[in-house]
Amino acid sequence: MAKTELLPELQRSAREPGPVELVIGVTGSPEMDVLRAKAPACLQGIGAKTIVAYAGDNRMNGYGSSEDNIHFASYAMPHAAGSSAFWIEIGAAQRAVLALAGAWQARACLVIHSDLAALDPDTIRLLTEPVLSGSSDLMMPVYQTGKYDALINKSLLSPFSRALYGRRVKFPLAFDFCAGASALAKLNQSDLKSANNGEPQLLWPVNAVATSGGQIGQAAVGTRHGAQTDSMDLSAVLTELAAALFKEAEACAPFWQRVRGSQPALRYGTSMVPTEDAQPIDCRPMVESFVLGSRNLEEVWRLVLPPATMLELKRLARLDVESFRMPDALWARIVYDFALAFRMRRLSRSHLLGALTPLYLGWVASYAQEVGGATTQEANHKVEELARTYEEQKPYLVSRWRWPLRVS
Amino acid sequence: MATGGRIKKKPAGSPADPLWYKDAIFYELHVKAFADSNNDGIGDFNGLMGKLDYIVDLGATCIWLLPFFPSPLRDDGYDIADYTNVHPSYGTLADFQQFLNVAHERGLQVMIELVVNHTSDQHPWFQAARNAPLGSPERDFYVWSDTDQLYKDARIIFTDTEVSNWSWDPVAQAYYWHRFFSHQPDLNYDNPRVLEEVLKVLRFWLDMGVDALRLDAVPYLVERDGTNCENLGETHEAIKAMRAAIDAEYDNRMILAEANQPPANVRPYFGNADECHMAFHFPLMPRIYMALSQEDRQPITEIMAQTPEIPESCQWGLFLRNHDELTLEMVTGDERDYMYLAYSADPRMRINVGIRRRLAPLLDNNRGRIELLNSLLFSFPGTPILYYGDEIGMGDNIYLGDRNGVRTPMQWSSDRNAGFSRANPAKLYSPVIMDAIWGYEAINVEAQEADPSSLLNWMRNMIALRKLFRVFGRGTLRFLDPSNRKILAYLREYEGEQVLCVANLSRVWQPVQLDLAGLESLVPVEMLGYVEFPAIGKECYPLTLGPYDFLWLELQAARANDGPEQEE
Repeated sequence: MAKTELLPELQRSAREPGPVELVIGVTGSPEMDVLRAKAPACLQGIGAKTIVAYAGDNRMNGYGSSEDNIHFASYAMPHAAGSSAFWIEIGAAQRAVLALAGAWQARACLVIHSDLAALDPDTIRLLTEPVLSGSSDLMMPVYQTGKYDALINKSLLSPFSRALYGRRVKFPLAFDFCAGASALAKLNQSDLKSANNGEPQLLWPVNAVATSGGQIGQAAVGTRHGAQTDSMDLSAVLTELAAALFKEAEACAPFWQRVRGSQPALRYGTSMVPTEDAQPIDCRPMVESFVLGSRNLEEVWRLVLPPATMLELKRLARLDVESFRMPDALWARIVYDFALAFRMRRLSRSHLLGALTPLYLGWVASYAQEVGGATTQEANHKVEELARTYEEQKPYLVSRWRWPLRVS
Repeated sequence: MATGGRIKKKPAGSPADPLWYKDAIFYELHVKAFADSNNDGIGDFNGLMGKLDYIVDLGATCIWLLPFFPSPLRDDGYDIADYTNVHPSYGTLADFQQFLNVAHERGLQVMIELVVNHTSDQHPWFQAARNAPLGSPERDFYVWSDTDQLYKDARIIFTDTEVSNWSWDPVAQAYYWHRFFSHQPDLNYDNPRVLEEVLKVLRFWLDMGVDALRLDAVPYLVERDGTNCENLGETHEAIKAMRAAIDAEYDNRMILAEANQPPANVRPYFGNADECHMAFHFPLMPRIYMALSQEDRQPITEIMAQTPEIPESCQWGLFLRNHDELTLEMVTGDERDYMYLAYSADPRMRINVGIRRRLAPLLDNNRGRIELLNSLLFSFPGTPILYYGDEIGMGDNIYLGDRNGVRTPMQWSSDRNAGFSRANPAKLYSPVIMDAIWGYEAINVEAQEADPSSLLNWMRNMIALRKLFRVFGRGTLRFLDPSNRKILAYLREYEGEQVLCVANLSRVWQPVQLDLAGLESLVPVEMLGYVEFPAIGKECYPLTLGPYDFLWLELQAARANDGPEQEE
């Protein structure tokens, strides 16, 4: 369980908070004025006690004072030991607020990003109501995205998680989500560190709840967090997220090996109107990166990918930009082969995941060209097709996971 | 965790699940035989520490260490002269603690030996006893008699070397009792101080963080005239006292009974889950070999039919081979004769009441047979225990005395001394195996790691596969009864997981029709390759298996028709 450091006076309070309806856990230090101004309006209608927990030592009112049954409490941001990685820190903060909610025996915990973009009445209602009413154990958001947004999620995180854990959740690694009491217990049991090497782990709420058979819902929200990783190198982001995804797969292998097909998540609220403001993308630099990768990284790829895949990649590298298309099945198998190589430690994990970047750019180039003239809705269908392909290709992963073979 | 006001001890690295041993893969090794770090020709704890990654990569989760205590080594360490120290050849107590910590860091548990039926005659307790006056507490630590006619109904175990269970001690001027070698006097459990001292030993190692203890020769703790001096009620009382001490003071530790007895006689060693957590299933091992040789499942199904239910928290320990001979004490005379004929053509292969050979030589180095027997080991109800070197198909040396032929140095590479030690070969505690078939140049870890089709890589895959399915460690067993007796088929089930295992014990192809009534519409999915087989129907399910083939089929519900997303 995440080690959560409470300020001393809160440690006393945490033991006797009385019945708590909802904990809103802010995963970081928010702008206090905004938090103070928006919270009461957002929480109207939630009758019982609500605690808003945020990271920091600049106590606002301190625990115990309240406005309309809303209490504010600060906690010390936990250190993601040995890592300064963006997602790892978010994961550590998410675990911290979930642990607090668990300690307070809250009926639900709404985890929100410290940019407070999710702190609006509609989002809070959509994410908390199904949980507080008992119809969902976990509520995940469906963020409104353009066709070129969140492509790591669309191409990797979401379809991979869906295929493995059998839940059709659009954003499995969301900044904001709401967990009910049973999901809280499950999430607080999930270990902060991987069993193998003690490295910090991200929190995958969907997987944790899916393994216990919990009910998962999702709701379309209007929240926009803005680009969180703009200043980061693409390869670093991809490496961090893919590593977390593959580590989770390793840890949960006994579960997902037996999951067949997928279940739709219960959907709440109404779908948002897709954004249609995307500008065309110049795919040439991405295709060039792919071609460069196919020349420079062939030795690495050969350690990971089977001959048939290598052959297809060679064929792709010979295509001109306009006709460059990477089939979904090929991309899904590439991801699965990287997951296998990650598990088998065929080479250094950082080198391995670094070698994924040109392949990912190849997929993005292919996708961008396919959806260039399409609406966002049509692009979403394309993303759905990819997710189905991941599911269809899952036996490829399972069979190789169970009986690994040398690839070349 | 606090119990009755006491804080239970649980060192870092201890398993979180109290039933961890049910899902474990044990790896049995001798420190002296594994890796020599200081080049004195004898393996040591520092050498073992350097090889932990190998054990982790193999997939083992618990290391079983053969005795490493100070000892005259007249019975390979089972003659202990000091219970709370490390034999200087293997390192120091600090080395052991460091090894334990490093093993725990890698997620490995450690089981050591608690050899408390007897000590070495060099143990200070025995030296004090033989010099102490009759009736004194010191003297009373062992079993003495003026006559060698007591306990006449107790069998002699080491028939090759011992003619009586009594030996005359000229110092004490009395006979002392020993169920094993004459230099291993039995402790006297009628003296309460003995149990007190044993509990001190137990606490000493558990306090260091040891996860499990193997109770050596546990049926023989107490003697009574007019009985065979095995499995007596007083023996069970002593075990209960040990278990009670563990449960009161420690979390998630385990004790394993070495009771070479028929299953019905082993059952009491589990008690009402208040004695041993685990016990070896000795009689299964020879019957697996017998079934293979006779190409008939009956020896296996018969012994399993005689195997009683055990408490929920208890577990059988299964093995194909270990550091001792393939014991034939628990088979009939005819069966023993058959086994000798089938598996020990050379009389040098026999010792006591058994066959002193390793797994691969017993199976004529036939890869199909080796894989088949391991598939049984990994899929039968119980926890599999591997003997070091068997995962690479190491051979033995029948020209070495006692059971030393199966205790030769681990074969790491084709380098000098098989990569086990840089010492002068003449200094090695035992010669490495050097012949053309079994020698270290032909069979070694380094070569097999580089060979994707090696036995080592096959074992790694099988272990990893088994670990994905808790049904193997925890599930129920039901044999099917197809008319072709060369086929062994059984169902394992645990919390909705169902696995059908089918094995061909024959050297040629075999057809079989399996009656799977009650399982209609389930889809068998071959577990190694994740290949769907035709769904089970109302008719018998036909399969054809090649020589020594085995199939593990996970029975899955037919894929449900997925609906669209639901809107609330």
